[in-house]
Amino acid sequence: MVAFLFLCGVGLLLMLLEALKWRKIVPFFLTGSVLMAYVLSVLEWKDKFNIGFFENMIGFDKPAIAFSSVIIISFFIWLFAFMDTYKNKEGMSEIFILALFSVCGALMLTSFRHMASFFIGLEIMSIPLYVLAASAKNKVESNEAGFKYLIMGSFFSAVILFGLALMYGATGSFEFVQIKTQVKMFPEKIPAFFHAGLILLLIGMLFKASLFPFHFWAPDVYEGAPTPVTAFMSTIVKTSVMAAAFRLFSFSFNMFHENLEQILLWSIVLTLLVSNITAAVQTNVKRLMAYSSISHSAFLFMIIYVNIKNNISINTLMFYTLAYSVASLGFFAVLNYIAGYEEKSLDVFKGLAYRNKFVAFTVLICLLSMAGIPLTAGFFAKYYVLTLLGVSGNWTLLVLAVIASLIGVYYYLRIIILMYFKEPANSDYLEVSDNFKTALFISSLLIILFGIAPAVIFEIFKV
Amino acid sequence: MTSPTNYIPIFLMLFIALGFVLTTMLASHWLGPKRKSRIKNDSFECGIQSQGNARLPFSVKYFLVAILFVIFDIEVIFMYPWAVNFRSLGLFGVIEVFTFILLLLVGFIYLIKRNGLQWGD
Repeated sequence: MVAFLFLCGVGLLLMLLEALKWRKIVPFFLTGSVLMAYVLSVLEWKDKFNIGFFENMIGFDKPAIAFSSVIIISFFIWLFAFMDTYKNKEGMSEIFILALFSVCGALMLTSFRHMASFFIGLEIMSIPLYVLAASAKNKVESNEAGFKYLIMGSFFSAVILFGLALMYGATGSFEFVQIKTQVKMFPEKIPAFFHAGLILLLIGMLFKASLFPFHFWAPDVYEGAPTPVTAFMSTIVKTSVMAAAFRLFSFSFNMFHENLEQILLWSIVLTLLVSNITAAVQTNVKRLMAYSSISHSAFLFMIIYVNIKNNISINTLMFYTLAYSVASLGFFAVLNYIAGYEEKSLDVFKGLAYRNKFVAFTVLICLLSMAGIPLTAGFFAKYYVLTLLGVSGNWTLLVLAVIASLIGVYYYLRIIILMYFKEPANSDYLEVSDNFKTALFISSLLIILFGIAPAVIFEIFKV
Repeated sequence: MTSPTNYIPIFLMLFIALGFVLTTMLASHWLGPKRKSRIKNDSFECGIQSQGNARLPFSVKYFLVAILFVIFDIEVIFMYPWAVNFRSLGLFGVIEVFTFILLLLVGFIYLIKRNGLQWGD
């Protein structure tokens, strides 16, 4: 809770700093504050489970703090990775302030207990994102991405809102815990439109997490948005949406599993097939990463799918989001560094290993982690998901997930082959800055650390 | 209790409303006389001859001012319920409303310092 309020305050202070012409200290101040927020959020770990704030609208229980930590760590790496792109440029503070406010919304999404705080959190997270997606002001594609995202996002926000309204109409309560008890006590009194509301809510969340058949916006927006914003969307936003979906469907509405299960199952199966097969034929690197991100969404939703019925583990979800976020940030940082806005072909990675060994090695680690090769965090993330599927007896889904990861290995390996076995177009040594190096170092270190000793994170965040 | 049969009046109403609109539209289409001329097809502008295209680009500043007006208008709207319930809310209400005003004040300072309200160049 303290960390959340602290970050909101920092956002306001940054606006004042920008207005009063102290723009120079904005990056340092922001980085320090994010580190401070991380410490504050971890310090709350020992607190009691069920303290609600603001009339029980927000409550930072252990899952909320765990996901908040993942989000804050990702934001910290994001800042280091993309600091140089914006430093001392026109509109630098705006980008950072908008990203920070979006993070505040994301933290709210991990900790809501009330329909109002859920929806407000979702909007606080989304509205800065629409602006960020269009932040390359003089590029038509960026404007198009922002506009598309705004239209689609607001439409599906309306769908979510309609679902919430129906559920409120059916139960007369805004608090998720109260709705749950009411449904448990008088299941025969729940009218049919409650289920319609629940399904509308599920559809909205599927859109926000870009699952089939609501995934069509993702490749266009990921491609058009500037690379830092793409990185932000595929890590921080995804983590918070997953945390919210977990809280909604696995904690609050898990007694309706017969409603949700079929929709989720088919959505996951089709997402796995469509995203991986489409990714395998992409030549545009950002579209490829968009489809890869959609495929990872499917893996994340598998955890939610299993948990709807038999509430096993939140740690798996947290570990997967952390592993994916760190690897994705490392990859997008390098992409942003070596390719301009217009260069989107896979060829930008050609011969990267000849130009800078360290950078190429980091990309290698990140891609191997996303593909799920042993000794990286991604391997254990996938391993835990597959174990979960096996334990709960979803054998068909397990086989499909394995096939999907195999296709994934193919398109990740394409980039690795380009880096290591192709001659570069220009063989100048690639200079790297300190901030950038720090970001790459942190992300590759985390990937290898969690790949060798995944138990560490399970011990630290035992939920 | 609610059951699907309770919605029958609503659907009935929907059908009648749609039917009325469709019938009148089609009837006026079929029955009405049609005389077309260039002047009749022109857009009607209070008897004055229309000039040029309506789709002109106009300065983004109008849009900016409109958006800013909405924000500060909303601020005032929130103050009405506070003023009505001033006594019953007491000190709590004062603190809450001042926090809210403070948040918007930061935005206002930002706006002025970034020349958001300056009309000229």
